[in-house]
Amino acid sequence: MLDYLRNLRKSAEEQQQEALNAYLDDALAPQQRQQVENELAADANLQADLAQMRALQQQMRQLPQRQVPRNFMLDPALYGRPRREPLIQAYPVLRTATVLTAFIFIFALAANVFLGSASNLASESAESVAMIAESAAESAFEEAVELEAEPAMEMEAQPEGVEEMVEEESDKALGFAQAADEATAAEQAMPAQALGESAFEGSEAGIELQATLESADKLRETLPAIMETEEASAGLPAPPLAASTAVATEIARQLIPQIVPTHIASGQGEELASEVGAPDGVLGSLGGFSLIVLLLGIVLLILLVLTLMARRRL
Amino acid sequence: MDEQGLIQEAKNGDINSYNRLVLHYQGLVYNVTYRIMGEPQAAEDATQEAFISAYKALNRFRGGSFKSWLMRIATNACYDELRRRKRRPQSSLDELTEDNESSAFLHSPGEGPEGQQQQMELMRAIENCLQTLPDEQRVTAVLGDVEGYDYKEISDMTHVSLGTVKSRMSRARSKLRDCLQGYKELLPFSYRLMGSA
Repeated sequence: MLDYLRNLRKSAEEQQQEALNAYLDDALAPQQRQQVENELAADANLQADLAQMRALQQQMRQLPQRQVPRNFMLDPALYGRPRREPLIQAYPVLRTATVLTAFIFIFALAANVFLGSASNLASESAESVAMIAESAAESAFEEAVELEAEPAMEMEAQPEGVEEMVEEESDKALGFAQAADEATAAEQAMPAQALGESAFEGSEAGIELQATLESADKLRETLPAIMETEEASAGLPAPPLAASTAVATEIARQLIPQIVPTHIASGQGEELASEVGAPDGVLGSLGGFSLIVLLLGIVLLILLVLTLMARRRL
Repeated sequence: MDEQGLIQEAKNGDINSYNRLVLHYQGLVYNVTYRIMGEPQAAEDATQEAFISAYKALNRFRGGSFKSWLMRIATNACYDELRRRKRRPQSSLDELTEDNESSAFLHSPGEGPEGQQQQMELMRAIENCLQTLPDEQRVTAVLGDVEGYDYKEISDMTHVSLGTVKSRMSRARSKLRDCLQGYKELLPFSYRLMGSA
């Protein structure tokens, strides 16, 4: 494999020279050998190259043997038995570990790339939901203000508890919108961890909004009874108040279909954030999963070096 | 010589059996280390180191060619020595003197005094050119062209792929040819003719 890649970088001349040398050393497969012979038959310069290499090889084979200057026998007094062979051979173990680590590293790298694109999707969803929540909260607030402005209701109906509830609903919606806003801003500024957190906040806002909706529903259910009590006590009609509560409820209800994708998106963000454990500082900027990939890469390098050393000792 | 029997006895701690193996292979190992190191003293050190390492690691030898296994250890010893020398470059007058004296060890085929002298000069030229090669290429050229090992054996000894051996051999020969053009007058007539073409 590496040889193949290396060959891609070689020029045609280099490859031809290598083939010619391998031909001289009888190290070619029959098909390659035939190809070189065909090239030799057609190219006189190539023939000259081959003859020159053959002459050089012959000269080198004739290099005189040098006399050994002394004996290299070992002194029996200095050397005992050869080392025992270890029960567990380091090389096969290291080789297997290196191969396994390489596979895990490649898998982690691919997962990192995949999760990176998934988290981008999550951030986009969280952002859009935050915008929707904000606009909905604004309208809820405006509706509440309008309703509050009606003097007849304020002066005559006086169901203070109900009015406060409506205001609370508006305030809550505004608060959720702000939270979602903050989440969006934070998500734009921060990588993986922040992304997860912002998505999580977005989801929290959605959940609270739904709880608000439920409480508004309950409120509406109990409203007739309250009205009857109020009517009986003040002798005034209260439909506008019921209508104001219904408006707030309706606005919140409209958010539900848009909240659902937020949950899905934020769920991914939460998973990512919890999986990563997202450290702060320099490492945090790398992203937790990238950190794992980096660590795997370092471990792989160390194993590779150890394997090569162990192989060398064989 | 019963090589396998001697190896087995040496594995059991019989150092005399091992020394018989040393006597048999020391010429071969010394010549290879000399071509790679280019200096008699460095070659001696590498040879001694190779035989000591081989004895200590004898139990890791699991059959096959003992000669190839020994040459692998000798090649490693040379690489270690070359690395040491790169970290602490040294050049002494003694080494230069020894190099000049080294021709006394040469055994050239008898061709008459003049031819013999020319042949010796050519051999020295080749040895000089060998020393100009990068370490990896020199080791490959020595094992392949001087000692006659095939690519597979060189690949096993040097722990590189066959493709790398092929590539190193090609580059080594190309550089040697270029280097030897500087000694044209020593080259055989046919070689000179082709070189100038």
